[in-house]
Amino acid sequence: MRIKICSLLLAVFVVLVGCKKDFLERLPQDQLTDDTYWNSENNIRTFAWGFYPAYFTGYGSGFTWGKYFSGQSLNDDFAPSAPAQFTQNVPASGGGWTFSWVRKANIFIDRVQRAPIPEEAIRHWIGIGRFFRALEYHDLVKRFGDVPWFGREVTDADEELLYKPRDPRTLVMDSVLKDFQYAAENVRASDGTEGLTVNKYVVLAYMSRIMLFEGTWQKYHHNNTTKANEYLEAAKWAANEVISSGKYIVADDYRGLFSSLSLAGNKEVLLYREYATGLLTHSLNSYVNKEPQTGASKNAIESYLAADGKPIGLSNLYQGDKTIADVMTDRDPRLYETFVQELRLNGVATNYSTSGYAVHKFLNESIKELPEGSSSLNPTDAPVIRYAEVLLNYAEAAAELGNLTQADLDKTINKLRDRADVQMPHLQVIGGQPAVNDEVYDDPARDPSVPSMIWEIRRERRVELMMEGFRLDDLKRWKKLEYTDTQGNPDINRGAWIVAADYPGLKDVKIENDEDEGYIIPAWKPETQRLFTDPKVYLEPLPLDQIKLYKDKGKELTQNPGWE
Amino acid sequence: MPFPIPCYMIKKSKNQSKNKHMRNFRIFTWLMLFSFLTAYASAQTITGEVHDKSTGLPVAGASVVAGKNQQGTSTDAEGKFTLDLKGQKTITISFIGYRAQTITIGDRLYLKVDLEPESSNLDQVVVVGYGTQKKANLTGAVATVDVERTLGSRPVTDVSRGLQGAVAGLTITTPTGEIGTNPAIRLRGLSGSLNGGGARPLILVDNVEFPSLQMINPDDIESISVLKDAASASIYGSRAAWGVILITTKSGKKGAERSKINYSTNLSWAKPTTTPTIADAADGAEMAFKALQRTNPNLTVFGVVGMYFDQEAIQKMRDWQAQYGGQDLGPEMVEGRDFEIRSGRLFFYRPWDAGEMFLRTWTPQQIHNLTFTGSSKRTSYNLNLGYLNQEGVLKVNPDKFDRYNINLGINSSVTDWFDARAKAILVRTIKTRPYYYSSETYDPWYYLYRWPKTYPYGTFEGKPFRSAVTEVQQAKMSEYAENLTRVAVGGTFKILPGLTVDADYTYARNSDNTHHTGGYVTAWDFWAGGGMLNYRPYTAATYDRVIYQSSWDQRSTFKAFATYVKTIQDHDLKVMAGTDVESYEYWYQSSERRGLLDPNFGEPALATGDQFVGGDRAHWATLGYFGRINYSWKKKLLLELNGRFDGSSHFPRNDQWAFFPSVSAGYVLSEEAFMDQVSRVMSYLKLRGSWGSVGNHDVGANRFLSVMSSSNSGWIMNGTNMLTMGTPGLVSPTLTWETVTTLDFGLDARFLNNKLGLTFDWYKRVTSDMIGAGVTLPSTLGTSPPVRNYGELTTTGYEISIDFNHRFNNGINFNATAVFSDFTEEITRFANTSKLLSSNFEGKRLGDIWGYETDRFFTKDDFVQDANGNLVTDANGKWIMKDGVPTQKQWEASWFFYGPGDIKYRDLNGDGKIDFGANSLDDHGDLRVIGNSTPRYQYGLRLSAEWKGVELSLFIQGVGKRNLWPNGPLVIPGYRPGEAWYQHQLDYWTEENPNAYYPRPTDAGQSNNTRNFLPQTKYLLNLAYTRLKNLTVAYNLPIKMISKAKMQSARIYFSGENLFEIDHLKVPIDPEVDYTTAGLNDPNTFGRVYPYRRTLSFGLQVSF
Repeated sequence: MRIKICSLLLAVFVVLVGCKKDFLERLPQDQLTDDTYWNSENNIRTFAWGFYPAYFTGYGSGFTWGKYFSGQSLNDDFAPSAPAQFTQNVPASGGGWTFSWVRKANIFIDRVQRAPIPEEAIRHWIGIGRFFRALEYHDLVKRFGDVPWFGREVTDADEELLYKPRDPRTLVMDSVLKDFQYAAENVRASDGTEGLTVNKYVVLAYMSRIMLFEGTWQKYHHNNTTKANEYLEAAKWAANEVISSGKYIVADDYRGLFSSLSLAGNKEVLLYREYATGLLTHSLNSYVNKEPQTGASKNAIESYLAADGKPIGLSNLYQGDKTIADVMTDRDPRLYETFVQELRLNGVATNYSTSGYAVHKFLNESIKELPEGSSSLNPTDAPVIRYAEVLLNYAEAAAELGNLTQADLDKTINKLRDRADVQMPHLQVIGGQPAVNDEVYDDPARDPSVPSMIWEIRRERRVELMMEGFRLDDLKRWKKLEYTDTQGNPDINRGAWIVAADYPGLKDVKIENDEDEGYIIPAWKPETQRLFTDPKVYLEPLPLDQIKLYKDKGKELTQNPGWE
Repeated sequence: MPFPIPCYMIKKSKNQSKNKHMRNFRIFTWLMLFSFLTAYASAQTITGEVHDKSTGLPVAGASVVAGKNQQGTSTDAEGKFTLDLKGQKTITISFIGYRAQTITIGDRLYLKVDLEPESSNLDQVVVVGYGTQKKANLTGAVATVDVERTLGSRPVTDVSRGLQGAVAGLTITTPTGEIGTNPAIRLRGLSGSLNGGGARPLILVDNVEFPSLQMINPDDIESISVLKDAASASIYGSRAAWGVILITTKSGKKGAERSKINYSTNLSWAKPTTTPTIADAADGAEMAFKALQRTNPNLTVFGVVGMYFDQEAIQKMRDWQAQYGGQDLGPEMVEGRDFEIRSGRLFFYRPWDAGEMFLRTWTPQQIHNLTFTGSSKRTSYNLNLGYLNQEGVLKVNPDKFDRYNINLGINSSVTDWFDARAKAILVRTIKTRPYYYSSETYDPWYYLYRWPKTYPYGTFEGKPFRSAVTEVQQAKMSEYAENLTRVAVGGTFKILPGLTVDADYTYARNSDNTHHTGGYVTAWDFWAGGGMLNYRPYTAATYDRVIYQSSWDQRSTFKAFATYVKTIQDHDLKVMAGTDVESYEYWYQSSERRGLLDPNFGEPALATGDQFVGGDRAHWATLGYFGRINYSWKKKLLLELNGRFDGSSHFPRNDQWAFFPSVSAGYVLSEEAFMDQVSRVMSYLKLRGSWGSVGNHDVGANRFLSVMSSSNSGWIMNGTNMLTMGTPGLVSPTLTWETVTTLDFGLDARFLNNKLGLTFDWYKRVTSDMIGAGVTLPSTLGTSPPVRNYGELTTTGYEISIDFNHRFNNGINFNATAVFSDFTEEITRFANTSKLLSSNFEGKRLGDIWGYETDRFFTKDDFVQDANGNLVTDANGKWIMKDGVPTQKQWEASWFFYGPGDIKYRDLNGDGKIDFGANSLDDHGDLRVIGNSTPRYQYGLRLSAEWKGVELSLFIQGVGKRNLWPNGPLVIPGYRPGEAWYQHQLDYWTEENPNAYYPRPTDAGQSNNTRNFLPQTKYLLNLAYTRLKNLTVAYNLPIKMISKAKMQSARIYFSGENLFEIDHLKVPIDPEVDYTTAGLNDPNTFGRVYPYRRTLSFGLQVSF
């Protein structure tokens, strides 16, 4: 009997385990795999959201604020007490030399082509993938110049590709241009919630930005007229496509673009980043309201025209800068929209600014005393790309191409000057020279190496896009990093003019030459000066470990000039 | 029907002949009556003497108990006793350190008993994988734990804390003193492999994996064996790659024919060992100024979270101290005296002891255990009920941990060829603690020690300020409940003489349930600055929520094996073969809803805001076939062969199966004739050797699949955070087992008539085919290189255990055990050509810390001076180093440059500059290995003595060598200069104090790798320690006294845990502190954690 029972038990066991042939087959239950994921447009769309916050940072999240405000603090607008320095050392590793986003885009482009969805949808999503690849390559090229171009996913088995030398910048940017052209042709004009999804016009707007960057870079850094013109034409074309679509207009309320609780339906904003209490919030609104901040430079304040459309050096309306009231009288209204009309000084105000001039462009007054107006709990929406920039891109491309007409100005810069709360006299071009109210003028503060008309277009860009994270890129592409030298361009290290005696309690405020009155010098220590001594900083150094990895394989990854 | 086996038993006995039954009953009644009468009439008295078998010396104080009657006495100083038997037929003689003996009296009147000392017992039966083995016959590296001595009288809450220092080779660490947490347990090494969770031994309770040692009641444990080498552990297959801790729980012993009730309790009180002390108000602020003024010499005021500091404030802090210091002013803060608002800024002058506001000095803990055991000839049972209650150190809303255990075990011989067994384990633990208004990383401990001394912990107008204390005060309690249910059924079939088959099925289900209720904290919020005091709810709306999180898993295990034993003359043979199948499933879900209607009711149905859900799911399965042959010849030559064919779902279909063999052998030299001459000194000697391999499947699930995980993108659309998928990574299609091969040589020796024992093991464990990134590929790949079976990690170590047992002539029984172990782990194969110090490479010893040698502080003489001896500055205002002084320019910045009082590093390679070269092994500049974070030379020492029922034992545990280059403000002064400085950091360099411990205060820029705090010899933490883990004084009440109260034994004790330690730390942290899991997210949390505690306890153990 015992033998029988034991045999029976054994038999039961053999049956139980033996029958379950796939007993050891346990595929993941809460993850999908690359093989099976790409089977619907919804899945493809879901994957695509992963690109958005990386490129459309808006005001960032938590205690960061994206590229806005001090996101690009190394420029001539900001006057910090310790100015940001150019890269000093070659990094051992990292340093931004990463291709993970290129890979992400390449995988996306590849998988989309095999998805069982209509041809139109495939083309749309390839366009989206190529758009993001273009954005990524622009970032890489902007940083490093020549970079290896990868048109498909690189695998570890593909040694040739892995150790590919750097491709010439123009080759890469030609590919970027092709990506943009494909995307412009194939991405849908509308695809889901307007303003929160990439559509054809978002693609075109970015195309105008990036091609303008590259066109001017080729012009000023390489003197390569052919390539410069090709890219500038592309920038102009793309901007014009957006303009002629008639979908977008310049909004009435300038400051509202940066301080609204919702940007939904704003016709100037092609793309914005939505913020929501409890889900995603930022801190820029609090920063420009409550905390000590880095102030704007005298140079930045002076770039604003007087109300008659003339530079302050020419206008009779200009009152000088001995008091903040004078500074804020009869100027381009965007000055008031961007800066507080009072001085905020250390020891006098807790939310002081290093230069005395404080920004309030991003402050929503209605929430400033509420918890969501404090700390990193701010829910105001952030514009990602707006129509005003497209207009500026168009005007600049046209000017750089040398074929700027009054009609061009009227459909671009003068639209900005017509903004309901700006209302500045129109900019005119007369004989290739800038003019206002039919009077040709030439700003005495102009950099003599910059033609007068281009000088005015650049001014308009600086003023309109103040504190929006463009300035450093602009100076780089114009080859004007010398503007950021605090000794060579002392006005960028000057703040407001003050009389110390007017402000009892003043603390840690340094007046030029230690006088009783004069300009505030935010960065007064000799060792905190920012000196532009070597043009090598136009490009970043490549990390050492990557160069060594190539070398170990008998390949070469070249370092950028000046960093060897 | 909860207990099927005894029911079956009852039925069977009922089926027996009724007549026979009746007859038996009658005889029994008569016998009872007769024996009672004879006992009453002629009360037999027995006398006797008790001796130590090995020494022949009399044993004093041994307990002598007669039969069931529980009447007893104890032996006198000469080992003699007299006992009135009152009709009982047997007596049991027992004594600590000896094997108990039960003797049938018959008609004897005088008895001579030789008690056999326990520790010298080479016949001791050790539980090994799928069976037992006599200690003398062991060929593998197996350690056993003396459960009673190790866990018996200690106020430890769980087995793992108790095992620390008890077994050579086990490394047990606890990163904080937080209650209700699991220590990390590692066996022979820390990492084992560069994958997975480290060298975590498989924890088996009654042969089946147990989720956490925290869940098992130490009182339930019958035996603990630690299987260390591959030859011993490999029988358990893939998850036993790092050894096995084999625990058996009590289930009653058959044949004792009696019932017994045990009750034990332990009441204890604990206080923190060390807590950080924040620097005195004025001193701290001064130090902060010194640091901040290096960045900006003109700085006259600075602020942190809305509180400001200037020279005037420092003076007022001093004035405050002079005028009110030491007085009890109550919590209410007075404007003007304790704080003031000047030019729109808030200044605080009154110091607070945040720790004191927050921490209780003594926190209670109680443990109760009630055990019922009983047995008949055929059936035995054990029922244990346990309760643990531990309170945490928080003053208000104290945290709490409760554990309830029920353990029921039944064994029964159903027929003469079938034994059945069943076991049920139920455990419930509940931990409650105040809700955190921040993440786990930034818990209240982090904030408590974050701010300067003047941070306002008082009240203003009777209302509190924003602080960690306020948050804890106003928090609702978060609850973490864990429930484990485990049922096991099984049996042993005796098929033929010598052949048995065991089959067991175990089902276990574990569920974790967490409930959090948030809300708002309302207090004076001054963080916004502007000199404003706003009394308002200041916490983010995100925390106004209810969260339920649940995870549950189930595990089914089936094991069956046949054992055949045969002895032919001098040949002993044991063959075993079997199979085990295990499948595991796991689920997790969480739900959250914001906008509570009433924070007293944290329920999703009573909230109005956004809702969030999430979940995970996982599963795996293993299947294995195993076999073992044990052979011994004349008990002299011992051989064991193991083999296991293993399958795991963690690998692709074609690579799921692998075969892992192992072999071990022993040679008992003391059995040889030529050893006779030394047998007086050396009574036993065995040499052992083993080699074996085990497959490791703990390499992460689905690593061979290109999986895509979902996450929130951070792109909001219409109030929804859009879900997105991660980029699929590169995978290797041919991924398979890591193979862990262990070579072990050992010896067991006993000396001086078995009094002194020594066990030594040397081992080398090689983890080959280690899954890792393989070659470093350029960033152009755009992702991590796919993992492959490539690398190799070698762990080498040795272990020594010594035990000594001696009974002195005066009756004092002395016992000592010591364990000592050490190991190193080295990467012996790795495809990394760059050999960057930050990466893994061939030849790297795990835990190595690269750093600089600290030379000294810079002095004025290192810099160019003018004729007056003043330092000369260059055009940028920087001091100029003299020629010949190695430059440290690498770490200088626009505002920071080295000067007198800063750290001067040593130019080891003499190239005139301090740098890290290419930061690679081949070119590491002035870096060298300055320490290692692996705990080396771990030891434990237990000494105990017993005399006339009084026991004294002490247990010392320590680590001989361990370093850490940590992070955070507690160890890096000036980490965030505006925040708290600590008292121990006040000894810093000034011109007047040039021989200080710390350099000139500097903003360390939130880094442990800058300026004056590059990793370096001087400030490297030395975490070696020796700790008095336990001291116990116990008294066993004399048997004469307690037998009147029908007690079999009674014992009271006082026990202290972590009473003191010797360490080498100059910072106020406990030497056992480490980064917590959550703390690793931000290393600046280091040391600001739940405190370790010293414990004093009182305990009582009685049995009836």
